[in-house]
Amino acid sequence: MKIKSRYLLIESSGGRDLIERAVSSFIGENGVSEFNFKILFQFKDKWVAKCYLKGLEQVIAATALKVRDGGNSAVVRIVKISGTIKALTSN
Amino acid sequence: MKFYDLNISKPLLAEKERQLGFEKVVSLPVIEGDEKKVVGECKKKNFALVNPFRVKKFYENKLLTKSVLEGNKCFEIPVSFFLRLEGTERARFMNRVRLFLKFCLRKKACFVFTSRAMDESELKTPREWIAIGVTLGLDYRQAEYAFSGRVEKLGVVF
Repeated sequence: MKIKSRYLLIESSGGRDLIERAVSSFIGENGVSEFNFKILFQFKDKWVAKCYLKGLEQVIAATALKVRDGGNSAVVRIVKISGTIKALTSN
Repeated sequence: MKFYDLNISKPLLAEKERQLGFEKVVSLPVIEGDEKKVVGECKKKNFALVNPFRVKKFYENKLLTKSVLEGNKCFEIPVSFFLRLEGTERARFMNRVRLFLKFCLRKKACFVFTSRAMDESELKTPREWIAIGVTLGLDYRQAEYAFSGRVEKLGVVF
C-alpha cells in the first residue's frame, strides 16, 4: 500500500544541519524513522524535504519550536507544503 | 478563516504578525499569579484572559477551572512559552499543558492561543500554531478554533 507523503519547502538560517537538528531534537530518531522524514535537495536558498502525511503536524511543530541554536537565534520556517515536487517548486 | 491574536507582548510586532496571516492583533488584560489571586480576580466583571501556568497543579485544578467558568473568563495558552524552553523542560511543560487542555475540554472551559511574542523570532504563522496545538493533543479543528472561532464567539476584538 502506498503511504501518503508531503513535500515541504523549508527556509533555514543554519542550512540543512539546523533543519535536521530541529526535527530530530523534537520528534527524536524514532519519530524521524516513523514519519520517514528526509531532506532531499536544496532549491534556490531553501530546502526540499519529505515526510509521511501522518507526521506532518509534528514536523511543522518541530520547525516552529526551533528559535535558538547554541545560544544564537535561529529561524526554521516552512514556506510551502505540497503533494508533489513539481507543485512545490513552481511559483 | 480569520485568525486572531489576543495578547501580543510587544504591540510594535503587531504589524509583522498581521503580515503572517492574522486578521487582528491586540493586547488584552491578563490575570496571572497564584491560585488565590486568580480566583479572586475572576470574580470581577470586566473581561480578561487567565494565564493558568503560575497556579500550582493548574492541569488538574478544579477550583481554577470553576472560577474561570463562573466568571466568564477565558484561559490563554501563550505559544511563546513553549519557544523559550528547551529539551526535557519543554517536554515536561508540554505534558502539563496537554493534560490541562484535556481537562478544559472535559469541563467545557474556554481557552485561546495567544503569542506573547517578545521578538520577531517568536512570531509564528497560523499554520504553525495549529501544528503546535495538534502536538498538544488537540485535533486540527480544535486547534484552529482556539484562535479563530472561539475568539469570534467571545466578541472581544470587535
